Amino acid sequence: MSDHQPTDTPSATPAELLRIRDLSVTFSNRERTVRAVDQVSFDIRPGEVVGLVGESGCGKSVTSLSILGLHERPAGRVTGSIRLGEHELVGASPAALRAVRGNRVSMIFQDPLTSLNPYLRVEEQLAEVLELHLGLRGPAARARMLEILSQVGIPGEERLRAYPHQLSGGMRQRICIAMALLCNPELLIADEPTTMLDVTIQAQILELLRSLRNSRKMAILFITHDLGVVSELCDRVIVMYAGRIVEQARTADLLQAPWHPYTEALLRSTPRVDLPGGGTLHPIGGLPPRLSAAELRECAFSPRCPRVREGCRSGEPALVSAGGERLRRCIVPVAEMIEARP
Amino acid sequence: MSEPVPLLKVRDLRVHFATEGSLVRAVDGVDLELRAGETLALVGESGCGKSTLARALVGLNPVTSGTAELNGRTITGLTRAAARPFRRELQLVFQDPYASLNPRFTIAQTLAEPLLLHEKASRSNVDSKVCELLAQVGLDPELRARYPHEFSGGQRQRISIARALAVEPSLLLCDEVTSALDVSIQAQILDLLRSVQQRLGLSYLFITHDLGVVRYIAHRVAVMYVGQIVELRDTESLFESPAHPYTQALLASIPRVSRAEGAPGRVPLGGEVPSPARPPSGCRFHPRCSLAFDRCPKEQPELYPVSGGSSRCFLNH
Repeated sequence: MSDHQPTDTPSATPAELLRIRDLSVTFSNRERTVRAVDQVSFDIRPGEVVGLVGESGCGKSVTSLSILGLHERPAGRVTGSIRLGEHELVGASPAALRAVRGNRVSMIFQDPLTSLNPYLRVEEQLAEVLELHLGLRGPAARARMLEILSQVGIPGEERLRAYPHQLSGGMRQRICIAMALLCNPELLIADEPTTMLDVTIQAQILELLRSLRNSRKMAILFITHDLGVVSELCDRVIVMYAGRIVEQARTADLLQAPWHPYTEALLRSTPRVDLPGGGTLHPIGGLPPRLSAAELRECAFSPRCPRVREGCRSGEPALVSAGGERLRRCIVPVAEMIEARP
Repeated sequence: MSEPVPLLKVRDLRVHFATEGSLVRAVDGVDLELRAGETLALVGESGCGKSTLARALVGLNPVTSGTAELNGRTITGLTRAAARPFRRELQLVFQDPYASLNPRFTIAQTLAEPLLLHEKASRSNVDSKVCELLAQVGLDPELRARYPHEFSGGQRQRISIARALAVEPSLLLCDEVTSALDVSIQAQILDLLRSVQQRLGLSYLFITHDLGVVRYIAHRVAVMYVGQIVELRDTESLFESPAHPYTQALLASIPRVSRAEGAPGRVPLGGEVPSPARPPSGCRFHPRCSLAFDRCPKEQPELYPVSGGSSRCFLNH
């Protein structure tokens, strides 16, 4: 069932950089099959920062790994379409994927220490990328390294000689970002890149990503569980629950007035640093559903939803346009979401 | 304001570690008091000494100098045997409930062990005590024959809390207890801790890096920087008018849901936390402080009184 209304009215929107349609990812072992991502469709335009938000197991990281074909085979089975410009990435050959990875799409991860080779100095790690992807060596490579390091706020040559363990967490993440930027990618996938960092360092890294995005017009797919981080960086937000997109909207619209009860519940269960007493917390009862490969017969959030009603149990609602760029997967009328809090 | 005898009283506590060629001053002269039924949050960035302090209080880190008293009795610098009666009073709950539960024990076994060891139950009534504990933390007692891997992260943290409560402590040291949990589950655990406190009159020393959680759960807040407390305030005073420049920077760094789209809103704090092996001279925050003046690198500020608490900054003197 394809329930996404494509938003490409040719005049208004610029051509998208990344176009994902009906992406599903299933994992199987001897006992069972799990559909971790279920019919996900969205676009990213050039230079746009899109937040992919949700709790553990909602499918946000699996979605992002699919873009670069990083699932272990044969365990993960990917169906649907991921187009980067004119290239289809689902089912692409390893050679075709290699041409995309690093050159057009780069990725940074939560733990910079595990993404860096502990045996190599910073300069060796950067040199490898420059030689393999751009054929650069010697003084030209060195000049490029210094240029990129100064762009991520690491001045001077001394850090080039360091091993990863000699650097702080924030510094390591800057090195990872530098490595990801070496080939001028059009899209940076950032999977919880600030989650392990202290807040003052997180603020530095977010500021860095913001300035890079402005200076390079680079698109970012930012995966996070933190709606505060989203509000600082993202133009648009996609909220996932149980492998599905449940809401998609411009950041300010979504944070001001969530139109899906799950987004609303997520906001209302986050302690607020800016409200007296941390605000009022409304925990979401119960647990996220256990994923399976079976078709859903009800809304995935209905067992935990404070706004649940008769119709929620008689089939999964479709993801439909709620005006403008907003999409939602819920039958509760928007007017009701806005006026009354349950 | 009357001054009841504090439950916990820490005086000039220091925990130093000797490493190759240097002395790491992880906790360097901490004073604090915690009243019965109170939640004191201990906040600060990685390496500020907050976990080391908590571990020193329960004897997991050796204390270099200074004292801690529980109900007027010294609990630091004791032999193992002498410390034993106090172990029950202070219970530690950790960040990762999976790592802190024995995977080969059923939940019933995990909870029965401390009950029997500290003689809070006998063989004959231990099972009903286990059920009582599980009910207290919102878990179905029917699940007690299961193993930790059969539970979700939030449920495991409930089990860890139940185990800590088993020995009827007066103080719970909670070290990042909700940091590994999703927000919807975190909210459940925070509510549980609040209701347990109201019911049992427990005190919490609550260690976290999440200032939203702090504002929700704490009565007072101690902000640590490089082994020292730099600000100690009532929660609302701290959030409404942070006194120390470090606290101000910390609060300004937090991404907020309410921030308008695209608004820069803040200047990030530059630099990084200095190593506790080489703390800066004078005020330890002066190299990163935008308000530092000539006195700051030369003299160490004390904790000066400010409304609702104290702050270690010459500007508050």
